[in-house]
Amino acid sequence: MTDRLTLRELMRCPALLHSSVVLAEPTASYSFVCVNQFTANGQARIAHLDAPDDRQIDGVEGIWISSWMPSYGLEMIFPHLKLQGVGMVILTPSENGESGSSTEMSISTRELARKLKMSVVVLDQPQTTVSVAASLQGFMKSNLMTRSTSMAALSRAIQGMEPNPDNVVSELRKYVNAEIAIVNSLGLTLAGALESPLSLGELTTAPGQGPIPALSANLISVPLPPLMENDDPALWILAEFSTDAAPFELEGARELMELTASPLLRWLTRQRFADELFQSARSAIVSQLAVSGGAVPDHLISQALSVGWNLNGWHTLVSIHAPQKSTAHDIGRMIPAALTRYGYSIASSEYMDHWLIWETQPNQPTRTEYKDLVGALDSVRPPLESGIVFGVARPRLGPEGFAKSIAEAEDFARQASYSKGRRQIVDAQESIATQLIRLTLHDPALVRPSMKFLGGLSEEDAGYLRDTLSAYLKCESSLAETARVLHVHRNTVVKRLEKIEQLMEVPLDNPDTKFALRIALRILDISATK
Amino acid sequence: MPWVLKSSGLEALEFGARMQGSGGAGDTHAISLLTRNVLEQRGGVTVFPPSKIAPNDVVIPVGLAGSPLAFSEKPGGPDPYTRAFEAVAAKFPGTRPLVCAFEMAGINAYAPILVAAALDIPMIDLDGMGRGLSGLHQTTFNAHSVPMTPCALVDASGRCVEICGTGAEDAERSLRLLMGIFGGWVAFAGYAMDGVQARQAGITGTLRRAIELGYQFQQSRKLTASVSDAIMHFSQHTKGCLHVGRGSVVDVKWEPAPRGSDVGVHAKGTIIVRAQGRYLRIEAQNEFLLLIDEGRLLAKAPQIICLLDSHTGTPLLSERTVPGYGVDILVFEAPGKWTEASARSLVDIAGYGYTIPSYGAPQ
Repeated sequence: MTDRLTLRELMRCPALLHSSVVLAEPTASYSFVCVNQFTANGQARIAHLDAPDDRQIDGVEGIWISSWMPSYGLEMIFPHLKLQGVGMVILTPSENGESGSSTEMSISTRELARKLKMSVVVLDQPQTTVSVAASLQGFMKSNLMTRSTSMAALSRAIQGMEPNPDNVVSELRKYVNAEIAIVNSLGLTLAGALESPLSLGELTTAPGQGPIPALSANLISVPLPPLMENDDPALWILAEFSTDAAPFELEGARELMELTASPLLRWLTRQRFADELFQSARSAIVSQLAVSGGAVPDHLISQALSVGWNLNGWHTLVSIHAPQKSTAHDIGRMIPAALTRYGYSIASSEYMDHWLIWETQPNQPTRTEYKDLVGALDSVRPPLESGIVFGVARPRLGPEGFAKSIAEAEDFARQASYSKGRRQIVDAQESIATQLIRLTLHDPALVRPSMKFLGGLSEEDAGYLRDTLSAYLKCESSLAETARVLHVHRNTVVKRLEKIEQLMEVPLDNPDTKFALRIALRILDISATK
Repeated sequence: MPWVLKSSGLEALEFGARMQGSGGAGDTHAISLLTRNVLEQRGGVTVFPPSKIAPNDVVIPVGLAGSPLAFSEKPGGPDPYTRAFEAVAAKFPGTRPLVCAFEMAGINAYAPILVAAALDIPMIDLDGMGRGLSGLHQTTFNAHSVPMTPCALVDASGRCVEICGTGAEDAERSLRLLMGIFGGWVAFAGYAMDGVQARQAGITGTLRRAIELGYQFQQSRKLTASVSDAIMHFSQHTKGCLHVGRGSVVDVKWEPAPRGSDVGVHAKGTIIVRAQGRYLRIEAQNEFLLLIDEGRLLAKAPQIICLLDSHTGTPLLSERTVPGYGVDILVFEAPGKWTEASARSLVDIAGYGYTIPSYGAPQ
């Protein structure tokens, strides 16, 4: 069944909205025949087409089929078709045999089609290929009207509620026939769930917009823009479809998910703002504790109490370093929550660019309890490739102990980050290697020969040279790595090493000398700590 | 008020006549030189406004029919126009014959000046088109039922053919058939009217308008440092002028009229101009007829679409527009008479073979 329509009527034609398949007949006034009826066996009476290949029709919303018309006419029609959701135009030869080709279309027509993201296919020969009609049936299911109705309803629903991940997931589920989840930049699910959970690695490998390459094609991901420049997306909205989902279904879902991105981002910004306000006070107390040295003033203890911290117990501090500040923020919130599940009561605070978390107990933790805490941390940590590292200080008592633990935890975390991925958690538990060092190097009789060996380097004002040498040896004699660790220029390292060689009067390229230097420096460190 | 057109006004007229030609009506260079020579000898031509025509005067429009290109290759002096005018005037004994243009654009703007100077008669400042158009039947005279015949056609060698007792479209068709014998162009005189008809049917003040356009551009040129600035200044200070864009011609395609098609069916051209990141499309035949900006119909005949060479400020002819030209595109409103219901069908774009989708009204 067909209806003859004028162009004006066509543009308002519900059939265009519903079917997206329109066939035009060549008449002087550009009247059109709309095809939206197919017979039971998938045949349509009006079809003079070659089937477009899959590549051409992939992702196309609507197809508009017309007899050949002059280029200027096409240009005038393109914007109107685009408004109606047409993504592809197929031109067939007209009845009088007049036909053009895509190469004959003028540059302005081709450019306009490109700008509007419309594909134009020009068929040279009329062929009765009814199969194309059947293949176009898929697009008839791409009901533009339904999609626009869904979008309008979802917009209204989001406007009428306080958007948060739970609400957004529940609303999306009403319109999208898929598993929906919202995850943060660490892969931690904030709301909803997917059938096959994601790991952090899978999310972070996805650059920018678009589906996650490592994942299956039936998973749609919409990343929220990062809150800070050069950061990862703050949140991801994910929808997992069944494997037989049609492309237009995925496309429709993406539109709806993109609609929810803005309210979610608003929610996230508000959350972050509230956190920042609270954190800035706590962060100031931790910073003051860190620089208080051995004597913590009373007012600092009172301030700590006012934010709910009892500094008089035994504290086990963990420093968390992350490559990006926002990641540290996420992990600083995520780890305490995860450790709570293991029965720990964890406090946390931002400290400089890092994050500190700690457990406070009234009694001294045993060696086993300390080991258990490290084990629990190991089980909730993000994967190694995230670049996030942990330093777990040994338990210490009181405010002074807390202050010392900050430095130790920071030191351990730095050691972990220097390990280039070999160690993610550095703690105070003694390994066999550590025990061996303790047994061999902790002898006070070794201090004097070490100082003699180091010569001028053991003087008090040569501390920076000892640090440089120590870093150089730890970095396996890599100048570039030493410079990076010490945050100085490579040439500075070279100059300092030259000075060290002058002071010690030994070349640094001898392996035995290097070994002896490491031992001597370690002995000095141990004696200084004692 | 009557006024005198002297040779000093011809430079301004040339610019205005080309602008009103809308890409058509021929290259004015040769006829402008010829007219300058005549006016310098005669001192000038008196131009009367249509209000000065007495009811029993007869106004006879003159001009060139046929191919302006053929005229450029084989130009003629005032004689063919004078003879055609006199042949028609002889049909109205006892009246005062006055001359006007049937098309105040391109080459045709000069024909009445030549006649008025040669015969020492006043010229009337009116015409039947107000712009360049392809067919002799496309006049407001025809729209107001002024008969085109009796008309006279005189070629460069002096041969004269008179057509009587037929409608404008038929006369036009006959004229086109004769064109091959006549060598491509003829001087035409026809549409003889009395004073009342002339005032009702003609578009008045088009000669003055053409000269004013020229003076305005000369003024803009004096006030600005470059030609491109002058074009902008000109468009801003000329009433009814819209500057659509500036760019380069990137593509020109001409499609010849199909073999065996009706007389009067012209070749169709498409000119693509890339301007500020977008493509402007101009559909042309003898004149620029459609202007489309990324699917939006910006202008269509009888609106006057002009392409000016951005480097020289010269209005370009449709057939001489080639890729590489830097152009400014200007649009002028259609002369008012063409918006009247009786006239509209004569210049409708469908008559040129273009079908505009019904929503495509100018925005």
